[in-house]
Amino acid sequence: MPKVICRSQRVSFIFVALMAFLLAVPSAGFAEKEIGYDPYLSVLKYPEANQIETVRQRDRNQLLARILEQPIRPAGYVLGRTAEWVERKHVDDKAIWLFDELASRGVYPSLKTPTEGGFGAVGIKGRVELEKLFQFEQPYLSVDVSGGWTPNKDFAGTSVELGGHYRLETPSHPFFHEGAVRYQRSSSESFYGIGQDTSLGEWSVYQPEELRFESALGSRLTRNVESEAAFVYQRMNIGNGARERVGKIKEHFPVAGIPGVNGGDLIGLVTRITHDTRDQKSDPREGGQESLAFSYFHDVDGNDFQYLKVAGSVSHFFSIFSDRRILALRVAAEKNQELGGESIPFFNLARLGGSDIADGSELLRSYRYNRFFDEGLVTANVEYRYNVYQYGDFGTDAFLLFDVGEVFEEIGDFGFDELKFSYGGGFNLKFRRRTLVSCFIARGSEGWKSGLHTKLSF
Amino acid sequence: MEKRVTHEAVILRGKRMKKSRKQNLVVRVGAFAWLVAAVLLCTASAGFAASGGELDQRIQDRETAFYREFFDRIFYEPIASLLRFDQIADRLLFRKQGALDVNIYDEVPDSSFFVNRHGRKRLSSSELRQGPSTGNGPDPSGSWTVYKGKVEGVSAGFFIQDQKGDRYLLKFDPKDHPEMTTSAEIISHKFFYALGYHVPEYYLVHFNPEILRVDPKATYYDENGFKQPLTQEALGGLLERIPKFKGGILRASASKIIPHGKGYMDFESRRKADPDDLIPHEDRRSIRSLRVFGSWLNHYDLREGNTLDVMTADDGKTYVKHYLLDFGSTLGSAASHPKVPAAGYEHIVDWYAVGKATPTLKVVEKPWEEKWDTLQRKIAYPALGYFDNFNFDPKKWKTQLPYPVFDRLTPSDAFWAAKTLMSFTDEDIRTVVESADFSDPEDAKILSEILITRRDIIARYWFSHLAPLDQIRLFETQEGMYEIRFTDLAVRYGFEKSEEAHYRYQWVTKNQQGERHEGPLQEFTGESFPFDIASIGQGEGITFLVQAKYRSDSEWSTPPLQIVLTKANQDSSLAVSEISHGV
Repeated sequence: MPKVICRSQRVSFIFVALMAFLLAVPSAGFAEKEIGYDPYLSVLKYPEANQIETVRQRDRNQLLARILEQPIRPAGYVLGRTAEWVERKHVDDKAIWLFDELASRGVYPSLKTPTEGGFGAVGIKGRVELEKLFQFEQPYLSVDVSGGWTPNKDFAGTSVELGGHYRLETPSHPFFHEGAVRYQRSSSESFYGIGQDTSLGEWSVYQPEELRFESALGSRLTRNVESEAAFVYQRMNIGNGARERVGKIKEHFPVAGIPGVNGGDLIGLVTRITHDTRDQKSDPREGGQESLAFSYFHDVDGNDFQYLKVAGSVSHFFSIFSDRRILALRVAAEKNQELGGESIPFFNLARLGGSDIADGSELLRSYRYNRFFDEGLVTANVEYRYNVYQYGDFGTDAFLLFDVGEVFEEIGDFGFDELKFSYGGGFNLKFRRRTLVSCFIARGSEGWKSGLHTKLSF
Repeated sequence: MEKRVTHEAVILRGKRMKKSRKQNLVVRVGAFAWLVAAVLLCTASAGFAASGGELDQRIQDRETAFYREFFDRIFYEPIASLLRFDQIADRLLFRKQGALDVNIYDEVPDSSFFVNRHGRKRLSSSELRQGPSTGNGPDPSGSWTVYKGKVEGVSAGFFIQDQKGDRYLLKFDPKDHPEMTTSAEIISHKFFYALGYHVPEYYLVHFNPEILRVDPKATYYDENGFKQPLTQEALGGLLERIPKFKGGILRASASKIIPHGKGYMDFESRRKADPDDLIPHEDRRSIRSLRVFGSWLNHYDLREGNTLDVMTADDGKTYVKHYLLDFGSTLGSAASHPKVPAAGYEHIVDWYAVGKATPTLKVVEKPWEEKWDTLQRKIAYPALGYFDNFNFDPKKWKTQLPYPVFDRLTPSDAFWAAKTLMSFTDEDIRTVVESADFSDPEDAKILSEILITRRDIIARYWFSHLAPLDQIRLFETQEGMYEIRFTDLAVRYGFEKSEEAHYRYQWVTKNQQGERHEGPLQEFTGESFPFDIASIGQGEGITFLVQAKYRSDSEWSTPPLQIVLTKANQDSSLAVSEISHGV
């Protein structure tokens, strides 16, 4: 019995052991295991990148690949260090302080470009408000003097201007009185003859020297409308221009054919009215400006000058769905009419050509300054200004420009087929809506023209 | 006659002297050339053997300034890059260089530039709140001595020394935007620290201005740019420009001054005097990826001037540690004012953007202009500045100054950065944001939501540029049978649905003769696939190319994930020897 028991026990034991073995073998022999690794191991994928020879070779290769850059590196380094010096020494803050300090004393310096523009020459000008300078500020009187100097284009002599102006307002009425004196002299200005059909081959130069007094009484009719009537005295001396290898006006043209080529003294009466609704003068985006002036001039030196002048301009600024797109339009017209069979001095005729209205010649930017002279003028200017860059206070507008204009003797002479065109574009770089630099390039029938200014064209 | 002789003698002597001068010149030039060559050789050979004090002497302190960087980046570099054949070739061939500081598993190992922190092992809430701080900031128990006014940067501030002798730079908020700059600094430096960068210790401090004492030698630059003695009265003037809280309390960020600074870190090239600095910085993933992290925190002021190389001694080894500094211009802050609308969308002068906008005549507005107009050109939350996710595009986000290193970011660099970013849970983000101690809890809530959403936008974008598969694990399931398991991060973070995710793999081997064998493309679902080593054969090792796609009509992700398996010897098991997400 014990033997039997023993046997059955053995069988049971073997059975259990066999089962245990069968169960154990798969789990022991085929036990799943993870083959781990350290993902942050410090073994680089490209170990050669850390080897000294490779590093040196890479440095040498880079130097060779950048061999063309080496000549400009010193200049880059010096300019970079200069920029660093400006920041470390707070030169920019000091410069702003200087200009603020000057402004607080009524002194406003700025850059001035010559009448014929270009990128080569730039001068300076300035205005001084005397009431601030001498600290006699009062609400109804303002007095300023101004001056400027610039080399002419291609450094053909210089231009100088000096002036003074005061304005006296009445305390309780909208009336005011203004007086101004201005002296201007340029050693060389261009003249191509009178009329629309003059040629560049007739290029000559003259040297204008002008002294002008103006005394006006006016009234501020509304917040935006101002009118005035002024007495004007003008003394003009004309000499031959200083530019070399260009004809001199008195030699190139018959003196008798150009009224006023020997200068003249004139007096005149001017009435003008202006309406200004621009939202900002230095960078208008809305509103506009209209002005109309009637003038009568007569000589006081026996030169037989007597004429009437009517001049007007309308400019308007439209935002196109956004203040980042501005359509700027300007139309100007002028007609001078001689009286009593007398003549109009050429220096007071309507002028067309150039890129700065303030210089007296209307905009036609692919043409030279003073390109066309005549009794009448019609011109239109269109600019589509759109913002291409704005970073805080700094901004840049690109613009497309289109100028069209014509000068004529009589209104009946105006012909659409005679119109002169300019088209092109440019950029206005601004800081807080103040134009720092405006540059353009324009093309017309007389080729390309480019220019640089420190204000908008209109 | 005598005069004549004398004259001739003088001429002769002059000629001799000329000749002798010429010879002298030749000798001098020769000697100088040899000297230069010797110095260069010595420098070059010594450059890799220095240590300790020698290193400290060799690595000279250097400075840069925003204006210099502005000139270099905006004017010089665009011209110079036209003269660099290597950059021209890269552009023409659309060539992207893989990062050189990555390890065999496509991770960035710890270095003096970067230390894996939250991405490797999650930091606890208290660790996230603490950031790099080792103390409690300036000691409030005594007075603080103002020893210098802040010289650089645009935010108001000055340097102080507390009673323990620790020095800090205090920076304040602009008057119209209380809490904006200080909160940006506090939040962002903690995130950058948790990401793995070396940053200084910043503390948020609230203090009564009466504890400030002025050092008699202290100077500052006034608003007109003139150096002036910093008197108690001048200090009062400075404090006038700072917002005050209840009881006249001031709020500032205090950054502890790091000693032994050696100036800024280049974003390109390397510091040749540093023997450990062998990999060009533009080829460092940790630096390229600043673009991704910067886009998250809107750190548009990422530039060399906001970095610092510091001599550090750890465990007896002296080395240069590379720090990021100044986080006051992150999030919606530009330090002294809210960010301008174009920030993050365009460089400060963006020739490309100007060139693109000019011929289009502004027929359509730029995205940032539309956004600014939609918001009626107003800042909704003064304490947050200008920061939101409208029209945010991770690919197009830009720093203030253009640095080529950020253009060298490759999809695999960005994937690495995005997955590191995703290691911050929503709760982590809220924890860090709340540590800025906003007086209005709504500000913290909104900022957290912006950062959470922005994190997801960034990760979703960069995950879509390759197979977003990570955490690769290899299992031996039976003798000769293996299984590769992975985590699909796009699925894990909910950007894609797991039931729509399909994968495929292909094995590639090379035998000892270099002949390539490819297996068939095998599709599967689920985040693992088995393979039988016997059916493949190993050769030099097996490379698995794994791709993913999430919709039946979409393309398979490219480049594929590469997993290289090799055996150390014939008898050992396969092991993961390389992982790559492509360039």
